[in-house]
Amino acid sequence: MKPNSQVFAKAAFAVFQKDLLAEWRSRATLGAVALFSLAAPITLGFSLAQQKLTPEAQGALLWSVLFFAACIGLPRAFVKEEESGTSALLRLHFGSDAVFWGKAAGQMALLMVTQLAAIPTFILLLGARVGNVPLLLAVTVGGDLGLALSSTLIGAMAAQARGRGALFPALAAPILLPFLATLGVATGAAFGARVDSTNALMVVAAFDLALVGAGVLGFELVWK
Amino acid sequence: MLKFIASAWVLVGLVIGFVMPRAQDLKTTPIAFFHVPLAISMLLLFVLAAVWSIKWAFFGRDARDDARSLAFAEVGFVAGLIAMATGMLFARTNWGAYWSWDPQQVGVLGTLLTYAALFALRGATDDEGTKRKLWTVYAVLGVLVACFGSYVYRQILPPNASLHPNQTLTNSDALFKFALWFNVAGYAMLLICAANVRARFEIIANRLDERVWRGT
Amino acid sequence: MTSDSLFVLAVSVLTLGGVFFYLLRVEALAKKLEERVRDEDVPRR
Repeated sequence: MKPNSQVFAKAAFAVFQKDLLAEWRSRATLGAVALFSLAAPITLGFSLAQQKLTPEAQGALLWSVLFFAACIGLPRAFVKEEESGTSALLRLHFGSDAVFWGKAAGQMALLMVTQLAAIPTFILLLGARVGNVPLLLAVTVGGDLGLALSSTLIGAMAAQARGRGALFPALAAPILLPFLATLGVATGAAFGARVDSTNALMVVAAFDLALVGAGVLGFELVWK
Repeated sequence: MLKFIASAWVLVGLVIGFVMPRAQDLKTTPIAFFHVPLAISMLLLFVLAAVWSIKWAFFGRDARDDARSLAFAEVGFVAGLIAMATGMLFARTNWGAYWSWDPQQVGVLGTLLTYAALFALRGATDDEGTKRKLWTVYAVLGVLVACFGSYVYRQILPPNASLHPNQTLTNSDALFKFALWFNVAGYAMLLICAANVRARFEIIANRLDERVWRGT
Repeated sequence: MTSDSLFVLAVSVLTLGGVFFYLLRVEALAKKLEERVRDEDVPRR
Protein backbone atom coordinates (compact mmCIF):
# COMPACT_ATOMS: atom_id res chain seq x y z
CA MET A 1 0.00 0.00 0.00
CA LYS A 2 2.77 2.37 0.95
CA PRO A 3 4.41 2.87 -2.43
CA ASN A 4 0.96 3.38 -3.94
CA SER A 5 0.00 6.13 -1.55
CA GLN A 6 3.41 7.71 -2.03
CA VAL A 7 2.92 7.76 -5.76
CA PHE A 8 -0.50 9.30 -5.25
CA ALA A 9 0.82 11.99 -2.91
CA LYS A 10 3.60 12.78 -5.36
CA ALA A 11 1.18 13.06 -8.25
CA ALA A 12 -1.22 15.25 -6.30
CA PHE A 13 1.67 17.45 -5.25
CA ALA A 14 2.85 17.70 -8.85
CA VAL A 15 -0.58 18.94 -9.94
CA PHE A 16 -0.61 21.40 -7.05
CA GLN A 17 2.87 22.67 -7.92
CA LYS A 18 2.03 23.03 -11.59
CA ASP A 19 -1.06 25.08 -10.77
CA LEU A 20 0.81 27.34 -8.37
CA LEU A 21 3.62 27.87 -10.85
CA ALA A 22 1.22 28.71 -13.67
CA GLU A 23 -0.62 31.08 -11.38
CA TRP A 24 2.58 32.71 -10.21
CA ARG A 25 3.72 33.32 -13.81
CA SER A 26 0.58 35.17 -14.81
CA ARG A 27 -0.88 36.21 -11.47
CA ALA A 28 -4.09 36.88 -13.41
CA THR A 29 -6.49 35.02 -11.15
CA LEU A 30 -4.79 36.15 -7.97
CA GLY A 31 -4.98 39.78 -9.04
CA ALA A 32 -8.63 39.57 -10.04
CA VAL A 33 -9.70 37.84 -6.85
CA ALA A 34 -7.65 40.08 -4.59
CA LEU A 35 -8.95 43.23 -6.27
CA PHE A 36 -12.54 42.04 -6.00
CA SER A 37 -12.21 41.12 -2.37
CA LEU A 38 -10.88 44.61 -1.69
CA ALA A 39 -13.45 46.36 -3.86
CA ALA A 40 -16.47 44.55 -2.47
CA PRO A 41 -16.04 45.60 1.18
CA ILE A 42 -15.36 49.16 0.01
CA THR A 43 -18.60 49.13 -1.99
CA LEU A 44 -20.42 47.72 0.99
CA GLY A 45 -18.86 50.33 3.25
CA PHE A 46 -19.97 53.08 0.86
CA SER A 47 -23.57 51.99 0.79
CA LEU A 48 -23.78 51.00 4.44
CA ALA A 49 -21.68 53.81 5.89
CA GLN A 50 -24.39 55.19 8.14
CA GLN A 51 -25.78 51.83 9.23
CA LYS A 52 -25.04 50.04 12.41
CA LEU A 53 -24.68 46.41 11.40
CA THR A 54 -25.31 43.58 13.81
CA PRO A 55 -22.56 40.94 14.14
CA GLU A 56 -24.89 38.42 12.51
CA ALA A 57 -25.26 40.64 9.46
CA GLN A 58 -21.50 41.21 9.31
CA GLY A 59 -20.82 37.48 9.40
CA ALA A 60 -23.30 36.83 6.61
CA LEU A 61 -21.91 39.73 4.52
CA LEU A 62 -18.33 38.50 4.94
CA TRP A 63 -19.13 35.12 3.50
CA SER A 64 -21.20 36.56 0.68
CA VAL A 65 -18.21 38.70 -0.32
CA LEU A 66 -15.80 35.79 -0.02
CA PHE A 67 -18.10 33.54 -2.04
CA PHE A 68 -18.40 35.99 -4.91
CA ALA A 69 -14.67 36.61 -4.84
CA ALA A 70 -14.18 32.86 -5.10
CA CYS A 71 -16.62 32.75 -8.02
CA ILE A 72 -14.32 35.01 -10.04
CA GLY A 73 -11.16 33.02 -9.58
CA LEU A 74 -11.97 29.43 -8.83
CA PRO A 75 -13.61 28.23 -12.05
CA ARG A 76 -10.48 29.36 -13.94
CA ALA A 77 -8.58 26.29 -12.71
CA PHE A 78 -10.40 24.00 -15.10
CA VAL A 79 -11.46 26.47 -17.74
CA LYS A 80 -7.83 27.25 -18.55
CA GLU A 81 -7.05 23.55 -18.89
CA GLU A 82 -9.91 23.13 -21.34
CA GLU A 83 -9.00 26.31 -23.23
CA SER A 84 -5.34 25.47 -23.70
CA GLY A 85 -6.21 21.86 -24.43
CA THR A 86 -4.04 20.57 -21.62
CA SER A 87 -6.83 18.69 -19.87
CA ALA A 88 -6.25 15.63 -22.04
CA LEU A 89 -2.59 15.59 -20.99
CA LEU A 90 -3.59 15.94 -17.38
CA ARG A 91 -5.97 13.01 -17.78
CA LEU A 92 -3.24 10.89 -19.34
CA HIS A 93 -0.60 11.66 -16.77
CA PHE A 94 -2.40 11.56 -13.47
CA GLY A 95 -5.19 9.60 -11.86
CA SER A 96 -8.37 11.51 -11.20
CA ASP A 97 -7.82 11.39 -7.43
CA ALA A 98 -4.44 13.07 -7.77
CA VAL A 99 -5.92 15.77 -9.99
CA PHE A 100 -8.79 16.32 -7.56
CA TRP A 101 -6.62 16.73 -4.49
CA GLY A 102 -3.94 18.70 -6.32
CA LYS A 103 -6.47 21.11 -7.76
CA ALA A 104 -8.31 21.40 -4.45
CA ALA A 105 -5.05 22.22 -2.66
CA GLY A 106 -4.32 24.85 -5.30
CA GLN A 107 -7.77 26.42 -4.85
CA MET A 108 -7.32 26.35 -1.09
CA ALA A 109 -3.96 28.12 -1.34
CA LEU A 110 -5.45 30.76 -3.62
CA LEU A 111 -8.36 31.34 -1.25
CA MET A 112 -6.11 31.61 1.80
CA VAL A 113 -3.74 34.07 0.15
CA THR A 114 -6.51 36.37 -0.99
CA GLN A 115 -8.30 36.18 2.34
CA LEU A 116 -5.14 37.20 4.13
CA ALA A 117 -5.86 40.59 2.62
CA ALA A 118 -9.63 40.42 2.26
CA ILE A 119 -10.72 39.52 5.78
CA PRO A 120 -8.71 42.22 7.60
CA THR A 121 -9.93 44.79 5.06
CA PHE A 122 -13.50 43.72 5.62
CA ILE A 123 -13.13 43.88 9.39
CA LEU A 124 -11.53 47.32 9.24
CA LEU A 125 -13.96 48.86 6.76
CA LEU A 126 -17.17 47.45 8.22
CA GLY A 127 -16.11 47.99 11.81
CA ALA A 128 -16.50 44.43 12.97
CA ARG A 129 -15.18 43.51 16.40
CA VAL A 130 -13.41 40.18 16.45
CA GLY A 131 -14.24 38.82 19.86
CA ASN A 132 -13.01 35.31 19.25
CA VAL A 133 -9.96 35.01 16.99
CA PRO A 134 -9.49 31.20 17.14
CA LEU A 135 -13.13 30.73 16.19
CA LEU A 136 -12.76 33.08 13.22
CA LEU A 137 -9.67 31.17 12.10
CA ALA A 138 -11.40 27.81 12.47
CA VAL A 139 -14.44 29.01 10.54
CA THR A 140 -12.24 30.46 7.80
CA VAL A 141 -10.28 27.24 7.38
CA GLY A 142 -13.44 25.13 7.40
CA GLY A 143 -15.13 27.46 4.95
CA ASP A 144 -12.12 27.57 2.63
CA LEU A 145 -11.90 23.81 2.64
CA GLY A 146 -15.56 23.54 1.62
CA LEU A 147 -15.20 26.25 -1.03
CA ALA A 148 -12.04 24.63 -2.43
CA LEU A 149 -13.53 21.12 -2.59
CA SER A 150 -16.85 22.21 -4.05
CA SER A 151 -15.27 24.57 -6.56
CA THR A 152 -12.95 21.83 -7.76
CA LEU A 153 -15.86 19.49 -8.37
CA ILE A 154 -18.28 22.06 -9.74
CA GLY A 155 -15.54 23.86 -11.67
CA ALA A 156 -14.68 20.65 -13.51
CA MET A 157 -18.36 20.23 -14.31
CA ALA A 158 -18.92 23.81 -15.43
CA ALA A 159 -15.79 23.72 -17.64
CA GLN A 160 -17.32 20.89 -19.64
CA ALA A 161 -20.64 22.61 -20.18
CA ARG A 162 -21.31 25.09 -22.96
CA GLY A 163 -19.94 28.55 -22.19
CA ARG A 164 -16.85 27.26 -20.38
CA GLY A 165 -17.44 27.92 -16.73
CA ALA A 166 -19.96 30.73 -17.19
CA LEU A 167 -22.40 28.45 -15.42
CA PHE A 168 -20.19 28.15 -12.33
CA PRO A 169 -21.81 30.77 -10.08
CA ALA A 170 -25.28 29.51 -10.96
CA LEU A 171 -24.25 25.96 -10.09
CA ALA A 172 -22.25 26.75 -6.99
CA ALA A 173 -24.49 29.31 -5.30
CA PRO A 174 -27.48 27.04 -4.49
CA ILE A 175 -25.21 24.12 -3.53
CA LEU A 176 -23.32 26.32 -1.10
CA LEU A 177 -26.35 28.22 0.20
CA PRO A 178 -26.83 26.26 3.45
CA PHE A 179 -23.05 26.08 3.89
CA LEU A 180 -22.56 29.83 3.49
CA ALA A 181 -25.48 30.53 5.80
CA THR A 182 -23.93 28.30 8.46
CA LEU A 183 -20.54 29.95 8.00
CA GLY A 184 -22.25 33.31 8.37
CA VAL A 185 -23.80 32.24 11.66
CA ALA A 186 -20.46 30.93 12.99
CA THR A 187 -18.62 34.07 11.87
CA GLY A 188 -21.31 36.16 13.50
CA ALA A 189 -20.54 34.32 16.70
CA ALA A 190 -16.86 35.18 16.28
CA PHE A 191 -17.88 38.83 15.82
CA GLY A 192 -19.77 38.68 19.10
CA ALA A 193 -23.27 37.48 18.23
CA ARG A 194 -24.92 35.39 20.87
CA VAL A 195 -25.38 32.06 19.11
CA ASP A 196 -24.08 28.63 19.87
CA SER A 197 -21.03 28.36 17.64
CA THR A 198 -20.19 24.71 18.42
CA ASN A 199 -23.26 23.48 16.55
CA ALA A 200 -22.48 25.71 13.59
CA LEU A 201 -18.87 24.53 13.52
CA MET A 202 -20.02 20.94 13.58
CA VAL A 203 -22.36 21.56 10.67
CA VAL A 204 -19.47 23.15 8.76
CA ALA A 205 -17.31 20.10 9.48
CA ALA A 206 -20.12 17.75 8.45
CA PHE A 207 -20.62 19.62 5.18
CA ASP A 208 -16.86 19.48 4.52
CA LEU A 209 -16.87 15.74 5.12
CA ALA A 210 -19.87 15.25 2.85
CA LEU A 211 -18.08 17.29 0.18
CA VAL A 212 -14.95 15.14 0.53
CA GLY A 213 -17.08 12.05 -0.09
CA ALA A 214 -19.05 13.58 -2.95
CA GLY A 215 -15.88 15.05 -4.40
CA VAL A 216 -13.83 11.88 -4.41
CA LEU A 217 -16.64 9.79 -5.90
CA GLY A 218 -18.05 12.44 -8.19
CA PHE A 219 -14.82 13.82 -9.57
CA GLU A 220 -13.79 10.50 -10.97
CA LEU A 221 -17.07 10.37 -12.84
CA VAL A 222 -16.84 13.95 -14.11
CA TRP A 223 -13.19 13.85 -15.05
CA LYS A 224 -12.94 10.55 -16.90
CA MET B 1 -52.41 -0.41 -10.88
CA LEU B 2 -50.52 1.85 -8.51
CA LYS B 3 -52.30 4.86 -9.93
CA PHE B 4 -55.72 3.56 -8.90
CA ILE B 5 -54.54 2.74 -5.40
CA ALA B 6 -52.79 6.09 -5.10
CA SER B 7 -55.80 8.07 -6.26
CA ALA B 8 -58.21 6.26 -3.97
CA TRP B 9 -55.71 6.64 -1.13
CA VAL B 10 -55.41 10.39 -1.69
CA LEU B 11 -59.20 10.69 -1.92
CA VAL B 12 -59.58 9.04 1.49
CA GLY B 13 -56.69 11.12 2.81
CA LEU B 14 -58.36 14.33 1.65
CA VAL B 15 -61.55 13.50 3.51
CA ILE B 16 -59.59 12.53 6.63
CA GLY B 17 -57.76 15.84 6.43
CA PHE B 18 -61.02 17.76 6.37
CA VAL B 19 -62.77 15.93 9.20
CA MET B 20 -59.74 16.15 11.51
CA PRO B 21 -60.14 18.41 14.54
CA ARG B 22 -58.27 21.71 14.41
CA ALA B 23 -54.64 20.99 15.16
CA GLN B 24 -52.81 22.88 17.90
CA ASP B 25 -53.19 26.56 17.17
CA LEU B 26 -53.22 26.39 13.38
CA LYS B 27 -55.85 28.06 11.27
CA THR B 28 -56.91 26.35 8.03
CA THR B 29 -55.69 22.98 9.28
CA PRO B 30 -56.62 20.89 6.20
CA ILE B 31 -53.92 22.59 4.14
CA ALA B 32 -51.33 21.00 6.46
CA PHE B 33 -52.37 17.60 5.14
CA PHE B 34 -51.52 18.77 1.64
CA HIS B 35 -48.55 21.06 2.16
CA VAL B 36 -46.47 18.83 4.45
CA PRO B 37 -46.95 15.62 2.42
CA LEU B 38 -45.91 17.44 -0.75
CA ALA B 39 -42.78 18.79 0.90
CA ILE B 40 -41.83 15.33 2.15
CA SER B 41 -42.66 13.76 -1.22
CA MET B 42 -40.42 16.33 -2.87
CA LEU B 43 -37.48 15.17 -0.79
CA LEU B 44 -38.36 11.51 -1.46
CA LEU B 45 -38.51 12.13 -5.21
CA PHE B 46 -35.17 13.93 -5.17
CA VAL B 47 -33.61 11.02 -3.30
CA LEU B 48 -35.10 8.61 -5.85
CA ALA B 49 -33.74 10.78 -8.67
CA ALA B 50 -30.27 10.52 -7.13
CA VAL B 51 -30.69 6.75 -6.71
CA TRP B 52 -31.64 6.30 -10.38
CA SER B 53 -28.76 8.44 -11.55
CA ILE B 54 -26.33 6.47 -9.37
CA LYS B 55 -27.77 3.31 -10.86
CA TRP B 56 -27.07 4.77 -14.28
CA ALA B 57 -23.51 5.72 -13.39
CA PHE B 58 -22.31 2.64 -11.55
CA PHE B 59 -24.66 -0.18 -12.52
CA GLY B 60 -24.87 -0.68 -16.24
CA ARG B 61 -25.07 2.79 -17.84
CA ASP B 62 -28.61 2.13 -19.05
CA ALA B 63 -29.98 5.31 -20.64
CA ARG B 64 -33.42 4.43 -19.29
CA ASP B 65 -32.19 4.87 -15.72
CA ASP B 66 -30.99 8.34 -16.58
CA ALA B 67 -34.38 9.13 -18.08
CA ARG B 68 -36.05 7.97 -14.87
CA SER B 69 -33.74 10.15 -12.84
CA LEU B 70 -34.69 13.17 -14.94
CA ALA B 71 -38.38 12.36 -14.54
CA PHE B 72 -38.20 12.04 -10.76
CA ALA B 73 -36.23 15.28 -10.41
CA GLU B 74 -38.74 17.12 -12.59
CA VAL B 75 -41.80 15.87 -10.73
CA GLY B 76 -40.05 16.53 -7.42
CA PHE B 77 -39.37 20.08 -8.57
CA VAL B 78 -43.04 20.60 -9.36
CA ALA B 79 -43.99 19.11 -5.99
CA GLY B 80 -41.58 21.55 -4.34
CA LEU B 81 -43.15 24.49 -6.19
CA ILE B 82 -46.62 23.43 -5.07
CA ALA B 83 -45.41 22.86 -1.50
CA MET B 84 -43.88 26.32 -1.49
CA ALA B 85 -47.00 27.98 -2.93
CA THR B 86 -49.34 26.27 -0.48
CA GLY B 87 -46.85 26.96 2.28
CA MET B 88 -47.05 30.65 1.46
CA LEU B 89 -50.85 30.62 1.65
CA PHE B 90 -50.61 28.69 4.91
CA ALA B 91 -48.07 31.19 6.23
CA ARG B 92 -50.32 34.12 5.27
CA THR B 93 -53.19 32.84 7.42
CA ASN B 94 -51.04 31.72 10.35
CA TRP B 95 -48.06 34.04 10.52
CA GLY B 96 -49.54 37.02 8.72
CA ALA B 97 -47.14 37.19 5.78
CA TYR B 98 -46.62 35.21 2.59
CA TRP B 99 -42.86 35.25 2.96
CA SER B 100 -41.04 35.76 6.24
CA TRP B 101 -37.52 34.41 5.56
CA ASP B 102 -38.21 31.46 7.75
CA PRO B 103 -35.15 29.13 7.63
CA GLN B 104 -37.27 26.32 6.29
CA GLN B 105 -38.75 28.49 3.57
CA VAL B 106 -35.29 29.63 2.50
CA GLY B 107 -33.99 26.06 2.66
CA VAL B 108 -36.66 24.85 0.25
CA LEU B 109 -36.12 27.86 -1.99
CA GLY B 110 -32.40 26.99 -2.09
CA THR B 111 -33.21 23.38 -2.89
CA LEU B 112 -35.47 24.45 -5.75
CA LEU B 113 -32.72 26.76 -7.04
CA THR B 114 -30.31 23.81 -6.96
CA TYR B 115 -32.61 21.76 -9.13
CA ALA B 116 -33.23 24.70 -11.44
CA ALA B 117 -29.45 24.90 -11.88
CA LEU B 118 -29.44 21.14 -12.46
CA PHE B 119 -31.87 21.49 -15.36
CA ALA B 120 -29.83 24.41 -16.69
CA LEU B 121 -26.70 22.25 -16.57
CA ARG B 122 -28.45 19.51 -18.49
CA GLY B 123 -29.52 22.00 -21.10
CA ALA B 124 -26.01 23.42 -21.43
CA THR B 125 -24.17 20.20 -22.19
CA ASP B 126 -24.10 18.80 -25.69
CA ASP B 127 -22.52 15.39 -25.39
CA GLU B 128 -24.98 12.77 -24.10
CA GLY B 129 -22.44 10.93 -21.96
CA THR B 130 -21.03 14.08 -20.33
CA LYS B 131 -24.54 15.38 -19.78
CA ARG B 132 -25.51 12.30 -17.83
CA LYS B 133 -22.29 12.20 -15.82
CA LEU B 134 -22.64 15.82 -14.75
CA TRP B 135 -26.31 15.20 -14.00
CA THR B 136 -25.44 12.31 -11.67
CA VAL B 137 -22.92 14.26 -9.64
CA TYR B 138 -25.14 17.30 -9.35
CA ALA B 139 -28.23 15.25 -8.46
CA VAL B 140 -26.36 13.74 -5.52
CA LEU B 141 -25.15 17.19 -4.44
CA GLY B 142 -28.76 18.35 -4.68
CA VAL B 143 -29.91 15.79 -2.12
CA LEU B 144 -27.08 16.93 0.14
CA VAL B 145 -28.30 20.52 -0.11
CA ALA B 146 -31.91 19.50 0.40
CA CYS B 147 -31.01 17.74 3.66
CA PHE B 148 -28.72 20.48 4.94
CA GLY B 149 -31.00 23.28 3.82
CA SER B 150 -34.24 22.02 5.24
CA TYR B 151 -33.23 19.93 8.25
CA VAL B 152 -29.71 20.68 9.45
CA TYR B 153 -29.49 24.44 9.04
CA ARG B 154 -32.35 25.24 11.40
CA GLN B 155 -30.71 23.18 14.13
CA ILE B 156 -27.89 25.69 14.56
CA LEU B 157 -30.22 28.66 14.93
CA PRO B 158 -31.84 29.60 18.22
CA PRO B 159 -34.81 27.28 18.81
CA ASN B 160 -37.46 29.89 18.10
CA ALA B 161 -35.85 31.29 14.93
CA SER B 162 -38.04 29.11 12.72
CA LEU B 163 -41.77 29.71 12.59
CA HIS B 164 -42.27 26.15 11.48
CA PRO B 165 -43.39 24.07 14.44
CA ASN B 166 -40.44 21.96 15.39
CA GLN B 167 -41.66 18.46 16.00
CA THR B 168 -45.12 18.14 14.51
CA LEU B 169 -44.04 15.09 12.59
CA THR B 170 -42.93 13.09 15.59
CA ASN B 171 -44.53 14.65 18.64
CA SER B 172 -48.20 15.23 17.79
CA ASP B 173 -51.01 13.04 19.05
CA ALA B 174 -51.50 9.72 17.35
CA LEU B 175 -54.56 10.68 15.34
CA PHE B 176 -52.90 13.74 13.83
CA LYS B 177 -49.75 11.80 13.07
CA PHE B 178 -51.73 9.02 11.42
CA ALA B 179 -53.61 11.46 9.21
CA LEU B 180 -50.38 13.19 8.24
CA TRP B 181 -48.41 10.08 7.34
CA PHE B 182 -51.43 8.56 5.59
CA ASN B 183 -51.47 11.59 3.33
CA VAL B 184 -47.69 11.50 2.88
CA ALA B 185 -47.94 7.93 1.58
CA GLY B 186 -50.81 8.83 -0.75
CA TYR B 187 -49.19 11.85 -2.36
CA ALA B 188 -45.84 10.08 -2.62
CA MET B 189 -47.49 7.24 -4.54
CA LEU B 190 -49.41 9.63 -6.80
CA LEU B 191 -46.26 11.61 -7.61
CA ILE B 192 -44.28 8.43 -8.26
CA CYS B 193 -46.96 7.43 -10.78
CA ALA B 194 -46.63 10.80 -12.48
CA ALA B 195 -42.84 10.47 -12.53
CA ASN B 196 -43.07 7.03 -14.08
CA VAL B 197 -45.24 8.35 -16.88
CA ARG B 198 -42.81 11.23 -17.43
CA ALA B 199 -39.95 8.72 -17.56
CA ARG B 200 -41.72 6.74 -20.27
CA PHE B 201 -41.94 9.85 -22.42
CA GLU B 202 -38.26 10.59 -21.86
CA ILE B 203 -37.34 7.05 -22.86
CA ILE B 204 -39.42 7.38 -26.04
CA ALA B 205 -37.74 10.70 -26.79
CA ASN B 206 -34.32 9.07 -26.33
CA ARG B 207 -35.17 6.34 -28.78
CA LEU B 208 -36.42 8.83 -31.32
CA ASP B 209 -33.18 10.79 -30.90
CA GLU B 210 -31.18 7.64 -31.48
CA ARG B 211 -33.12 7.00 -34.63
CA VAL B 212 -32.43 10.48 -35.93
CA TRP B 213 -28.72 9.89 -35.35
CA ARG B 214 -28.83 6.57 -37.14
CA GLY B 215 -30.70 8.27 -39.96
CA THR B 216 -33.65 5.97 -40.36
CA MET C 1 -67.41 20.81 9.40
CA THR C 2 -68.75 24.13 8.14
CA SER C 3 -70.27 24.53 4.70
CA ASP C 4 -67.21 26.57 3.72
CA SER C 5 -64.82 23.73 4.31
CA LEU C 6 -67.26 21.34 2.65
CA PHE C 7 -67.01 23.54 -0.42
CA VAL C 8 -63.21 23.48 -0.29
CA LEU C 9 -63.27 19.70 0.11
CA ALA C 10 -65.51 19.39 -2.93
CA VAL C 11 -63.14 21.56 -4.98
CA SER C 12 -60.13 19.49 -3.87
CA VAL C 13 -61.88 16.23 -4.75
CA LEU C 14 -62.80 17.58 -8.18
CA THR C 15 -59.19 18.69 -8.71
CA LEU C 16 -57.91 15.29 -7.70
CA GLY C 17 -60.39 13.69 -10.10
CA GLY C 18 -59.12 15.93 -12.88
CA VAL C 19 -55.53 15.04 -12.10
CA PHE C 20 -56.40 11.34 -12.05
CA PHE C 21 -58.13 11.32 -15.40
CA TYR C 22 -55.38 13.39 -16.96
CA LEU C 23 -52.86 10.89 -15.63
CA LEU C 24 -54.83 8.07 -17.27
CA ARG C 25 -54.98 9.98 -20.55
CA VAL C 26 -51.26 10.78 -20.58
CA GLU C 27 -50.40 7.21 -19.70
CA ALA C 28 -52.49 5.94 -22.62
CA LEU C 29 -50.61 8.37 -24.84
CA ALA C 30 -47.29 7.01 -23.57
CA LYS C 31 -48.40 3.48 -24.30
CA LYS C 32 -49.43 4.36 -27.82
CA LEU C 33 -46.11 6.07 -28.51
CA GLU C 34 -44.14 3.20 -27.01
CA GLU C 35 -45.91 0.77 -29.33
CA ARG C 36 -45.22 2.93 -32.37
CA VAL C 37 -41.56 3.30 -31.48
CA ARG C 38 -41.26 -0.45 -30.97
CA ASP C 39 -43.01 -1.25 -34.29
CA GLU C 40 -40.69 0.98 -36.22
CA ASP C 41 -37.66 -0.53 -34.52
CA VAL C 42 -38.25 -3.78 -36.37
CA PRO C 43 -35.66 -3.61 -39.15
CA ARG C 44 -37.27 -3.26 -42.52
CA ARG C 45 -34.21 -4.13 -44.49
